[in-house]
Amino acid sequence: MRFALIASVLLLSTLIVLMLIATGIIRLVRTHSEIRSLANRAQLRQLFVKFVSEDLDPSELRQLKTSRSTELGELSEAMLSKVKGSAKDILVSFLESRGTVEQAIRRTTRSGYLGRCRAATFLGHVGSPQARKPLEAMLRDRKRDVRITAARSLGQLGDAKSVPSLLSGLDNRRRSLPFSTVLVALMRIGSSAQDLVGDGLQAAGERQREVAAEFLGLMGAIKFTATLSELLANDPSLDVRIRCARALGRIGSPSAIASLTRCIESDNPVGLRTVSCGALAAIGGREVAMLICKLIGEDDYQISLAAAKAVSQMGPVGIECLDQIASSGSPGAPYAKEVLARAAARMVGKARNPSES
Amino acid sequence: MIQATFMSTLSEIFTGLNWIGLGYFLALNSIYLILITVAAINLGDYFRRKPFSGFQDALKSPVTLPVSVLIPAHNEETGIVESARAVLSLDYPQLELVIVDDGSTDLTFERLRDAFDLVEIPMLVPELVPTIGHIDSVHIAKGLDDVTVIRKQSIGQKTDALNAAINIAKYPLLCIVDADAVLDEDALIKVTMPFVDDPQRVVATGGAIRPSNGCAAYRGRITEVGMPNNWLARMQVVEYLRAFLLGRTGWSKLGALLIISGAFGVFRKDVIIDIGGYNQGSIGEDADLVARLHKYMRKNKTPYRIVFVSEPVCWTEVPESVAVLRRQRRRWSRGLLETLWSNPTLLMNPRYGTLGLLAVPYFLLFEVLGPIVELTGFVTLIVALIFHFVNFYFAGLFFTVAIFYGILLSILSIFIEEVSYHRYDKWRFLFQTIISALVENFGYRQMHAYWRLEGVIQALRRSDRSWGSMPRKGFIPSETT
Repeated sequence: MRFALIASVLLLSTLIVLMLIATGIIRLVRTHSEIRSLANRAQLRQLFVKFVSEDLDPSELRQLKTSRSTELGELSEAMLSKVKGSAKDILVSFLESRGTVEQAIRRTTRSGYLGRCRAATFLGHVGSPQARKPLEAMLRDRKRDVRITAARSLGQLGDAKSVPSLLSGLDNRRRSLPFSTVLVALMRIGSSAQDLVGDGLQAAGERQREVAAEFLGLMGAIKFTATLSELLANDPSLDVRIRCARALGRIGSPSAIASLTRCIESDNPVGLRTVSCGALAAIGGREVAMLICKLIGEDDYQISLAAAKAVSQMGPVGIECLDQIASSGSPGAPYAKEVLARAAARMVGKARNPSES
Repeated sequence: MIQATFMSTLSEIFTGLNWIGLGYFLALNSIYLILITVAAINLGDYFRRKPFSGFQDALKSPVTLPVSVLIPAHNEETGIVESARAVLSLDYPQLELVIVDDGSTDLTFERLRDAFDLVEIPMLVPELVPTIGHIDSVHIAKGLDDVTVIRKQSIGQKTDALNAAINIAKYPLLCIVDADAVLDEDALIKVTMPFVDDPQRVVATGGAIRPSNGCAAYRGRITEVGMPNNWLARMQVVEYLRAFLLGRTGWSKLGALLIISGAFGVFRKDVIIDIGGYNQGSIGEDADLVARLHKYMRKNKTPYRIVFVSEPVCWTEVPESVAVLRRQRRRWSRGLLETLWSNPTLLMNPRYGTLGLLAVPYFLLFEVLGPIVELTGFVTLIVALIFHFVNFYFAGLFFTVAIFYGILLSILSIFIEEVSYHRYDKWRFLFQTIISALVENFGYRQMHAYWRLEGVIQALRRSDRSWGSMPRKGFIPSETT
């Protein structure tokens, strides 16, 4: 027993000393490498600036040592996401001349998932059209990180042809993509994606319809007002209906008023009613204001407050309605008073700090 | 003859007790070693994946969930404005700040009123979760839509202030932050990333807590990380590193996180309302809330995750005096026991997976009953030495093994910190943490065990349930001012 205890003490003290030495060595190496990399980067940055401003003679580039050229390549890869315009074109052509793009495409199918992520990120920054297919294939990768990185890169590529792949990735049961990743990717692709995303409103998958509605609303795609209104009325999913209501508010077409008005009726779920109030207010108009005002003072706190807030956003018409309710002594009066006070505080603040408004 | 037999029996009992004590230390430290190893693996994975985490995308995304940041405050005039400014300047697409002035007798409200130009508004506050203290008034900042200050009567409980804030919060995520806490600029977006990545399942996340003593701050932002000047606070730096950063990372990875610190946690509002908000009268409100979240989600058979994210940092002032530290630790110990006491079904219940079978028994055996075993161990060792039931040599070896194992874990934690976050970047700070890791074993840990025991006794006697506020010194002003 004594031996076991002595052995334990010796083992533990050895481990403590080793850990201390390791900590010190790591600190030393880190300090040293930071100093070295700062100096190295300063030198390389000069070369890089000359390079992207086209002041670097091609012969000078060829004369660079292999190690320096590799470092310049790495710096160019790192800088890809930070430069734009002609400087980016120079970087991309330099990297293409080094065969970096082909290498990245080959790496999209390699075994290490971090390598695949790195390849996808690089391809997204380069924006090379030939990267679309490999990136679309990566949307079905077994690793979630790879799928997300590929979706992000497809967004950076900006090719509307990748919209169906992105949308179908949402409802893949075993290898799905997060809602926000797909939405941000679609937003990056921009208005050219509208028609293909519009097709997603008819998709069988609920999340595809959700993201399509959200995207079209954010893009203000007025030509989809009728389809969104129809989904708002008939979609079996409440989440889809709520997103359609919000989208219709963002689009702001008066043709959506009828379908939104039906959604604020009391037989609808609270979530849908509150969003529809906001959407109607965004479309605006005196009649709409009167309609929403009827909801202020309902038994449900959320509805009353949402309606009052919505009306307060409608400018003089809304404020007039709220003033009437506030002075009426009706059940809606406290809500009207609250949002009026908030609006007044907002206005005072804006008057004092016009730059913020 | 009888006396000899008696002494021999006593000797055997004391030797047995010493072995039990040693076994206890070995078991406790071995569990910590496992947790730290799991945490180290998890941190490695986190750092490898970090370049692809996409939190920059989340900052730009129109569907990133907005957050209501709730700050309960009771006599926090020293740092409340700085904390509020820090929250408002966080990198996050959409957030509101709700501060509850819970019956402060100092200038907490006046400081806020002057800083944010507050104006009182009439407001109907819904009772989504129960509150007791009457709300006297609600104030908003002129020109800033998203700053609300509630003045309420205090019933002496933080939970009541938090519930009042939950009732007023308008966004789907609630971030609870202590009034003296300062968050890193990107802390909120990083701690909410699990909600972005896995919105269906994640119900709560917690971030890392680090002591802010010795750090420099400017306009609510930590500008220079430093070590405290006070040794008591330095020992807490090591403790926070070992127990809170790595311990919680390990529990989280094992799917058994029981505590999300009340200083910095994010929760889904709908679920918090479903479970009735904070338990009124709970001392360990943070652990109690998480325990009830686990129970609620399991009961409803809803897949869920409660995640600890180690990178986002909340800086908070730790006690620098023995009296204040003693009060804090008694409170923590008492809170934990009360949480376990009020959720007995969690213990050894396979329905709760690793939480019921591993985490809860660990907290009961080592965190709650631990001080009893530790102090009994020390007392019996001393008695055994006095009466020569064990020889000095053996006792010395027992003690050295137990202490060295603890030191090894602390040094291992410092090593992992050095490899991963490397927050304390000066050599001087490294030496100070290492010395603290050695010194804390001689006096600090024993005192800590005694305070925890006091907390257990307080919990059993059910006395004194007041706000756990402590005197604040504030930050070292940054040179950038």
